Parts: sequence; C-alpha cells; structure tokens
Amino acid sequence: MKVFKWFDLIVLAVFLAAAVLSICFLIKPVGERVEIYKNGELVKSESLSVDFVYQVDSHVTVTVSNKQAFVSYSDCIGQDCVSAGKICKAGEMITCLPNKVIVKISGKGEVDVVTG
Amino acid sequence: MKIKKLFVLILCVLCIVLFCACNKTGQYLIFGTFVDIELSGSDASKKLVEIEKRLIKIENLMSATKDGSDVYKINAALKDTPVSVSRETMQVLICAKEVYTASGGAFDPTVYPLSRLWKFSADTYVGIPTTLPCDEEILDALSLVGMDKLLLDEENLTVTKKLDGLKIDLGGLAKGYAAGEALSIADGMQGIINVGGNIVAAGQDISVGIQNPRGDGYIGKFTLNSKMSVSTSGDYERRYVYDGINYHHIISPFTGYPTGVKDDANLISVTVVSDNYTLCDAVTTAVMVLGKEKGIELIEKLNLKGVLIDSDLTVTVVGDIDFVEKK
Ligand SMILES: [Zn+2]
Repeated sequence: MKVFKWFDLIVLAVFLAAAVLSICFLIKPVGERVEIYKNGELVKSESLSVDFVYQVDSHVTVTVSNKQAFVSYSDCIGQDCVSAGKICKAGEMITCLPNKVIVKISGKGEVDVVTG
Repeated sequence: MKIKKLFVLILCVLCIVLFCACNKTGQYLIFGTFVDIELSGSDASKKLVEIEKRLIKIENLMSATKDGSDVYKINAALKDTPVSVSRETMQVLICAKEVYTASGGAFDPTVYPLSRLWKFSADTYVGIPTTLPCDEEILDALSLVGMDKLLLDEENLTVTKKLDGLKIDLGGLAKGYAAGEALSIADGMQGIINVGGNIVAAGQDISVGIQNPRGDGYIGKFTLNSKMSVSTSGDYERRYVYDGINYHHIISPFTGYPTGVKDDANLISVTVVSDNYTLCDAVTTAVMVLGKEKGIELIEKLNLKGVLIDSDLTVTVVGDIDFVEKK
C-alpha cells in the first residue's frame, strides 16, 4: 500500500505543478508574438523580440527585426502585403490573400484589434 | 482509500479548470478574405467548427463568383425573369436597399460592373494597372448601375431585374451578415469576431484601433461595446497609383470613378459602429461617396456612430464614441 501512496503523491505533484504553470502562463501577459498562418493553419509563432526570417513557402517570406514584422517577399501580383509595411502592435495584421498567408501580432497590447 | 478518492476529485477539478481557461482561435479564408475568430470558453473548439460551416454556407449563397450562388444566378439572369433566392440572401438584399435608399444611391451594390472595369473586384484585382478604362467604357458600365432596377419580392423570395446586364456584389454586406451569424452561434462566449474587416465584440467590450490611413500603426483607439460591430473603408486599401493619381476600390455610383477622383469627396477613411452587423460596411462606403458633410448627416439619420478622417488627417467623431487620438 505504501508504494501506491507514494505513486499517487507523485502523480498529484506533477499535475499540481502542470496546473500552476499553465494558469500562470494563461494569466501572465506573454508579451507580443508574431503568428504566421498559411491556409488558416498556424505555421509559426515566435516572440516579437526574436529576429528571424521565415520562408512560409516558395511564395512568401516574413521577416522580423527590431520588434517589427513585415512581408519581405511575396510573388503575389498586387504586392499589397509587401506595401502594407511593418507591424508591431498587438491586433495588427498583414494579409496576402492570393497566397493565403496571414501575419498577425498577438498578445495583450494597447488595443485588442485594429480596424481598417 | 478515502485519500485516493480525494486525489481523483482534485485531478478532475484541475482538469475542468484548465479546460475552461482554454482560448481558441479560428483562422479561415472564406469570401476571398480572411476570417479571424478568437473565443474563450469550454465550447470554443466546437463552436468554431460550427461557425466555419455557417460561413461557408453563406459564402455559397452570396458570393458573386461562386457558380450557383443566389447572387451568381441574379447576375446571370435576363430582365423580367424572377430569380428565386434563399431567405438569407433576401434579408441581406433588403438591408442593401435600405442603405441605398437612405443614402440617396451613394451606396449601390450594382456598381459591380464598374468595380470589375476598374479591376477592383476580388476576381479582377491585380494592383498594377497597365491602362485605365476609357470614358466610353465607364459610361457603358455606369448605365448598368441603379438598385432601383432590381425588384425584391420579400413574400415570394424572388428577385427580378428590370435591366439586362445589371450585376450586384454583396461583398461587405454578406461579410457583416456572416459576422452577425457567427456571433449568434457564439452566444454567451467572450471573444472577437472578424470577418474580412467586419469586427464584432462578442460578450465583452474590446479596445479597437483605427488604422492610420497614411502610415503604419493606428491613429487612435476607442471602446467597442459588447455585441456592437465596427467596419472601416478607406482609399488606402485595394488601390493603385496611375500617373500620380490614387485610384482605389470605392467607386462612386454617381461619377463612375473612385471617390475623390472626379468629385470633391474629401474623406480617406470612414469607420462606422452599429448594432446592425449587415449594414455597417455599406454605410462606410456610402459615407466615403457622400463626403464629410452629407456623410455625417447619413450617420446621424441612421442613428449610428462613426469616426471620419479627412485627407489632412483631421479626425471627426460622430456620436458617442470615446475615441482618443494617439499622441
Ligand atoms: Zn500578397
């Protein structure tokens, strides 16, 4: 019986730790993140503080530098996503409809969403 | 054994707590545009699947480019031939006619042939023009404009054209309607629903920034109360520059040109807040066409609220909105 009790305690401890961590993670603002979606699927999520160049596919490349995200390359005909410029605030978003790519800043910023 | 039962109980409670804290987002591409939905609550995943299904159904009824949609059938029909449509499409058409009438024709879904001629419709837009339409082509397309030539029979759910070649696009209205449908599915949950720029606050007040029409970021922000919707139209989206002139997607049904090109409409961004999800986007278009003075009159007449931005970036707030300009 003793062995079982120890086992139960360990299971409980692990669950408690996981629960506390998860709740902390959910409540604490995690800062602004860049989220990249292709065909509606999240393909990359990274802190805005990290510089990177991400090739979504052969059609679109997203770059993050100096806490700003932008579409650095797209082969779409209108080039709206490239001329949309840089985004850095939670709620901002760049879309490339022809290539079905969305770049979004998430996190608790000054606004929840940007209209326009 | 009692202790073991207690453990199990605690584990169950923890699981439920974690499950409820779940935050779900859904991203789809429907209506040739993006759909972004954030919902919190234990049912979120299930609701998102339901919303996606409903949005696809609405797209299949109201898209101008989908074979067999109600709108496609209307556009393909000859004059004096009644076309049967769904109750949903009729509801959106009636709303379109309301805005058409209230705005004296400034909003008119029959500008579709002009949007196509200028290559601003979703299926024709390329962003880089090689030529502009000539005056003759514009006059030809302009002769097909006029929602008064589209008869709606609410009782029998039929639509009859009084003019061959008349074509409609319910774009913004269909997206606004879809946002409202998404909200009714997500009833009782908290989150943000964004169907191609038609934003609805679900179950909570949210803070909304208005895009700076001449730069990065937003120009200011306001609170969108729960169950209200907001939409913005501007001359900076879906546009091209030709010979130094900005040609954008909001075509005046009066001139046949983008607003501000042949008329003195002076607004570059119009935001409208409404509890009628379907008409919100149509009113922003009407105000862009009407210009500032008449635009304000229309917003007040319809009991709505709005934020208008002039070409010199002067901001005018209409109605009770806590808009704060960013310093
Ligand atoms: Zn693009």
